[in-house]
Amino acid sequence: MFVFPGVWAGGNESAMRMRAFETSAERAVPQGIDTLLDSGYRYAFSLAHDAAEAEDLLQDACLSILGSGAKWERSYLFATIRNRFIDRYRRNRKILFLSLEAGDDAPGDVTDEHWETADVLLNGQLDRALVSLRVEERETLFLAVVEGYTAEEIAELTSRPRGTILSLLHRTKAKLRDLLGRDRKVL
Amino acid sequence: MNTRKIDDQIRDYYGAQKPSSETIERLKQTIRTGTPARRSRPAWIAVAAVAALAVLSFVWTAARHRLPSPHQLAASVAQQAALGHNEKQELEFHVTDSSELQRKMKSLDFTPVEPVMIRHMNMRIVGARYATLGGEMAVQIVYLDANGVPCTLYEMRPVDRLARLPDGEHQIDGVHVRVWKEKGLVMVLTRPMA
Repeated sequence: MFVFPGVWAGGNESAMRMRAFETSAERAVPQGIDTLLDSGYRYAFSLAHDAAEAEDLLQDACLSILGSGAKWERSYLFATIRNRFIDRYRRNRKILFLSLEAGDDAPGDVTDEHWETADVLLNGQLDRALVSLRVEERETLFLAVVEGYTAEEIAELTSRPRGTILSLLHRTKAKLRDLLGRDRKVL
Repeated sequence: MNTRKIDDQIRDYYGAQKPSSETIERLKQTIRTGTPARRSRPAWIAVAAVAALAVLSFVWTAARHRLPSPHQLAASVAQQAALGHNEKQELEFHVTDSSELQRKMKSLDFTPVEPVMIRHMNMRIVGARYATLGGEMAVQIVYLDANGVPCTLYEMRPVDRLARLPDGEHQIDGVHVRVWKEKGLVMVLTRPMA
């Protein structure tokens, strides 16, 4: 069956960017846009774990929102960034989000884990550990810990069952703890 | 040893990630004007671009003596169109009517039109996406024929070498490709062979 899903997959992107949104009228910059852009960038960074890639994703998402005339809302910006990220990876034929099943391990509450560790920020340990995580692990961790999303909200954004999110977050934190512990031993 | 909650450290880590002030300003300008601002590139990119341009000029000068014949060009365009049809790339615009497409696809430098043949064949429009064909910006429109079989129509302006593109029919990779000109545009229709 011939299927054309609703997400744009690119085409002549550069040409489109150059010619898009041509209008002479200036618009007012929405209130709180700096905070929103910072937030969007950080989410993009959690997906790509690369500064340049995160800026590109943010710019693409902004252009998409401008083109669609949608409101400047965090949930919409995040969803757009996510779609653009998936598009880019599809185009490069990379494996992105692996199939996730709710595991057998008991899911912890999203905000329940407060384990302590030595200051791993100082020597780049945390950065090394985060880059070792899978995209969906890093994304879930970011949304839960940094943005304060509930499992329900993450499930909605990522189109995954809530139980899977809880399980994923639990496993991710365990994995992160293991990675940081291993890193310390090496050091 | 100094210990801290890992959640706090993760927050601090991501809190320290910020887009450059240049990026923020560029995005705000884009939002204000609705026009994407160009990024400033490092100087070495400019140097590399000039060098690449010089090489390309040389290659272009050499290639001008070996321009493809109109039939070679038509075969190449038909090949690309067949490939584009078989790739089934995702659509950006889903519409039920051609006029809807004209309103939505504002980034084209021409207005997409519905060829007479499409109406005669009782085809139903599904949607479209921006594309390139023969090196020119094109619109790729997907229709379903009376039997529900998807067909792909490319439309583009007959600029530069495309002006020399002859009308004709081709059969490539299981796809029937027809090339013709109508209403000032080059039309390339691809349909699966029966």
